[in-house]
Amino acid sequence: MNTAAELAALPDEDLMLLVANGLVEKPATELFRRHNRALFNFIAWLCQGNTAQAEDIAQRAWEKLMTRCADYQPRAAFRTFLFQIARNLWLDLRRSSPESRRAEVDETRPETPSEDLAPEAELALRQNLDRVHQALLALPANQREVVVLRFFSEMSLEEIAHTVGEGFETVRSRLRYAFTRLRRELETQA
Amino acid sequence: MSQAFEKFLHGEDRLARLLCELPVYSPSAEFEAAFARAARAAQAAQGARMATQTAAAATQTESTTRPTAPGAAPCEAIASAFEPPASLEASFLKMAARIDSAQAPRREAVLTGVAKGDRKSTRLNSSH
Repeated sequence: MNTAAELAALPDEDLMLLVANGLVEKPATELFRRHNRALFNFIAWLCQGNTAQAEDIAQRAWEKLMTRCADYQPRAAFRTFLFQIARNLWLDLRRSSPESRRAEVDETRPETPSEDLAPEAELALRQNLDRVHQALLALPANQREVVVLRFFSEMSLEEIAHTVGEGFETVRSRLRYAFTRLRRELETQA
Repeated sequence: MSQAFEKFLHGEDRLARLLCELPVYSPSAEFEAAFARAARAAQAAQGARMATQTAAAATQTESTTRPTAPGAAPCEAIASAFEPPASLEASFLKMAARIDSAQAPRREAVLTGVAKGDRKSTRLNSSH
C-alpha cells in the first residue's frame, strides 16, 4: 500500500493511522496535499494576514502530526484533529504576546439585522473587496475564527464546535455577533 | 431569530457571497519543499527507531530460550524507548566509589597475604 494512487484512494483517517503506525512520509504527504491549503488559509486569518507567522505555525503543526500522533483517535475526524493542533500552536504563541486577549471580549450588544444587505451596498463592496477583508480582520479573534471555519473551511457548526472546543450554541452566538458587526461596519462604509 | 442571520449561516445572503469572494492566503513554494524535507526526516527517524527496537528484540531472543507470549513486546524493546535520567549514572559512580573506598583495608590485607604466599581461599575466609 505505497503507491500514490493507492494512498489517494484512502480516507484521511486511514492515512493518519498509517502515519501513527510508522509509515510516515507518503501518507503524510497525501494528507498535506489534501489539507494544507485550507489549513494555511485558516492560520493566516488567525494571524491577521501575517503569512510568515502562519508558515511557522503550519510547519510546526505538520511536524507535530508526523512525530507525536499517538493522541489521534480513529473516531475523530482527521481535519478537526489537524486544525486543533494548529489552533493550539497559535494560542500558545498568542498567549506569549503582549497584546494577547486584547479585543477578545465583545462588549457590544447591537441588534441583529433582519434584512439582507442592500444590492447597492453589495455592488459597492464587490468593487472594493479590501473593505470586506479589513472588516473581517478587525473582528475579535474568537469571532473571526468561526467565520473563517464556516465560510472558507466549509465546516458545519458541529465541526467548528469540536475544533474550537466550545459548545454548539457558543459557536452560533459568535457567528451572530460576527454577522452583526460585519454588517454594521460594511453598511457604514458602503 | 433573524431570518437574515439564518440565511448568512447557510451561505445564502449577500454578505456570505462577498466573504466567499475574498482571496485566500497561500503558502510559499518553499513551504512545500520544507514539508517534503520534514516528512523524509520523520520517516528516517521512525525507521531508525524501529531498527533499534528490532535489534533489541533479536538480542533478547538469542540470549534466552524462555518463550515469549505471542504478541507480547520484549522487555528490552520497551525499555529502550526510555532513556535513563542523566543523574542515574552520576549516582551509581558515587556509590561505587564509596564502596571501593570502604573495602580498601580488606583489599590491602588480601593482597599482602597473597604476596606472602597465603592461599587465597584462607585469606578470604579469615577476613569474615
